[in-house]
Amino acid sequence: MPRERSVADVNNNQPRAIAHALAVLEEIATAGPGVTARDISERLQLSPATTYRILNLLVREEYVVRLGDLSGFALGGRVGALAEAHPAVGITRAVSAAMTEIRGRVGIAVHLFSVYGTRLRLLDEDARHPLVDRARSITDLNASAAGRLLLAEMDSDPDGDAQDRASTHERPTTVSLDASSPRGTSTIAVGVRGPALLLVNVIMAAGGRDYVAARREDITKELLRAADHLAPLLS
Amino acid sequence: MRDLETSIRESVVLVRAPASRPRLRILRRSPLADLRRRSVGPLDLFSQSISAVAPSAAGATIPVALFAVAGDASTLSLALGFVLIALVVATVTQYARRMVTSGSVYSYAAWAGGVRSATAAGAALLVGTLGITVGVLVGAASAAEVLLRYALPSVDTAAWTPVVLTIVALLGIASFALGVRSSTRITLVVELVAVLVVVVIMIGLVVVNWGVLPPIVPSDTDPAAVGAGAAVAVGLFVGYETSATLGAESRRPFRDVPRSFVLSVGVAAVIFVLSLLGQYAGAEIIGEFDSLGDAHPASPGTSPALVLVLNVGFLLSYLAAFIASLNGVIRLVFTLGRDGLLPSLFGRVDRRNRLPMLAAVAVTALVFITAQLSTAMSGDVRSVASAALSTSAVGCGVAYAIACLLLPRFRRRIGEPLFAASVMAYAVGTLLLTVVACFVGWNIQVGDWSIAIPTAGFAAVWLFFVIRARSRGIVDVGVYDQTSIPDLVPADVEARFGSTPHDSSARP
Repeated sequence: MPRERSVADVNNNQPRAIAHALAVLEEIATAGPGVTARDISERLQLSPATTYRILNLLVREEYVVRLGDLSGFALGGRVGALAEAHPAVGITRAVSAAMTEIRGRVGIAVHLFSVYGTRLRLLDEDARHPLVDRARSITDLNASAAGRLLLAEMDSDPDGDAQDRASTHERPTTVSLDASSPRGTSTIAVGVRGPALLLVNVIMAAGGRDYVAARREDITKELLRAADHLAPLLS
Repeated sequence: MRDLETSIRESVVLVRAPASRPRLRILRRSPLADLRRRSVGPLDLFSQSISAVAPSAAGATIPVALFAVAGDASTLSLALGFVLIALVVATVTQYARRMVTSGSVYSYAAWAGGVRSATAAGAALLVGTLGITVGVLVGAASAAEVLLRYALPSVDTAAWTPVVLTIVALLGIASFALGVRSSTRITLVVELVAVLVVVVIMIGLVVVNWGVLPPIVPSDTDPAAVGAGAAVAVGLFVGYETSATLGAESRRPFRDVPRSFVLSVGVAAVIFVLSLLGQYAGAEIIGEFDSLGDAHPASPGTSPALVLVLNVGFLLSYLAAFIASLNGVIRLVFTLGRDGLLPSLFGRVDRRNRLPMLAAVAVTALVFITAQLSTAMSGDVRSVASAALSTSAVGCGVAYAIACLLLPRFRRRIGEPLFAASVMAYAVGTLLLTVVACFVGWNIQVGDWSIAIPTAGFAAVWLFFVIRARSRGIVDVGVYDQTSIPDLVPADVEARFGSTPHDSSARP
């Protein structure tokens, strides 16, 4: 009975530790950014040592970040990704129609991502050809062209400096990532930019290596056009 | 339903933090944002640390130095050194879990203790890490010399030293310029081959001479000698902290940096024990307890094949260690430049490859010139390597000790004081300083004045930093990778599309 064994693997103290960790997370969410370890420990009546251990674990896993002078805590980007994993509001009908159109034109899978801090979120997956490894496409930014585009964006302008935003100078528009093996999937990603040229969404086409290699220019052109079309709808 | 919503809102208001909390200021971008942030994975950090420790080269040469210092008590010293380094790692890890830096131990001490601590820790770590870098560069030359001596017996091999030093230095800076990921991958492969070679040979030596063990219980114990030996043993692990200099570039620094510390020290400890046993047993072959690598391949009683293979391993290990140490020192110099203790020129990042290239050129030039001059002047690679080793043990030992002693202050400052951690940190710091003092004392006692190099170097650099900090009125040191807006939960996705997408002066 593997199921029971896996429960038994969680040792007696761990469920309580997990509950404490969630309580700490909740406390940071309710108290707001800047809450200190001492506040949390007093509020939850946890021993200081336990509180520090839990906080550092949450920092390690990036659910929580330390602010300013390292004494204050706030929710990290990873909590955002968690909360927004299933967005309450999907895409609008206009965006959906635009996506259907581009999918028809390109003939291979086309997915729409939104950029969320330093992360990607899947906004509209191609239902006919779903992503091969959805979790990896989102978490490993090096695994797909969409992720590489975001990495390049962060590189060219790490946190979005308003002065630089006036020009697309040095900003990536298209990233293409070829499969390493003939049977792998190649991807091409194009950014959708909002006002002030902020990268808000990424459209990514994914298809067989040879197919993509043969039609790279056409696919890119179509994606760029779709990005122009989608920009006002998405921002 | 409305009632429920209201009550929830009110309950939230009730638990809100006191108004006395200072207004938060969240930076729009991290002070270290111009480095390539979030580009380095756990494997790169591990290979940076393990290559800087260079367990194969260090393990194969240092036991001889250890026996020279501690004699019979070597095993005891080694054990004491292992315990000490484990405690140091446990202490330094507490910083690494809480702040991300590009200057490792220096940045920790600087942030925790302010300018005065920064000048001392910066000087100690700079001198120590420059010491290792020079040492491994010269070590590479000495391994190459043994190989050349065998390949070209008629040529004077000493003439080759400058050439080898030049080649290795060029390789070092070239691989730095390739970027962190490429250089750490190169060093990992090179170090792995070196470790394999050394481990296989050491296991072979242990098996062939089964039962030959170094004395565990010393016949007569001089506490000072045991302490000095422990400093040499701690010196074996110097470099494990260099992965922290890649913190700002790491993808998951809070997880991967502490892990790379523990893993590299653990792996290195196993190789060191094996090396010690193997070398001690190997002494039976050579007849005297001497560094196997330095044996003349043609001298009677040695196996030329063994010495040659071993030296290929050393050469590779030194090469990896040189690349990795260079990576660490350059980022330390970059951080010192950012903090103002060194010219701000060194704190600049090249726009194209996002690396501190000016610091890189300066450090490589300094290391290269030091290595050239010292080998030319002394005419003996081994004495230079041993002086460099002492420098690294003293410099890094002092830097670790300062960081340990400042930990309680650090924890108080961030609002996480813990009595047990403070007691431990003070104990480790004091013990480490004692051990380093024993080492310096032992060197003076036996009349080895090369120990003056690290001591004088440390004093000179410290004085320079103090004067510079005074004259420039430096008060703010310890630059680190601060949380910036992209690391937080985006306040509101809608807000990102407005005309002022990021409000730099933070949220409520």
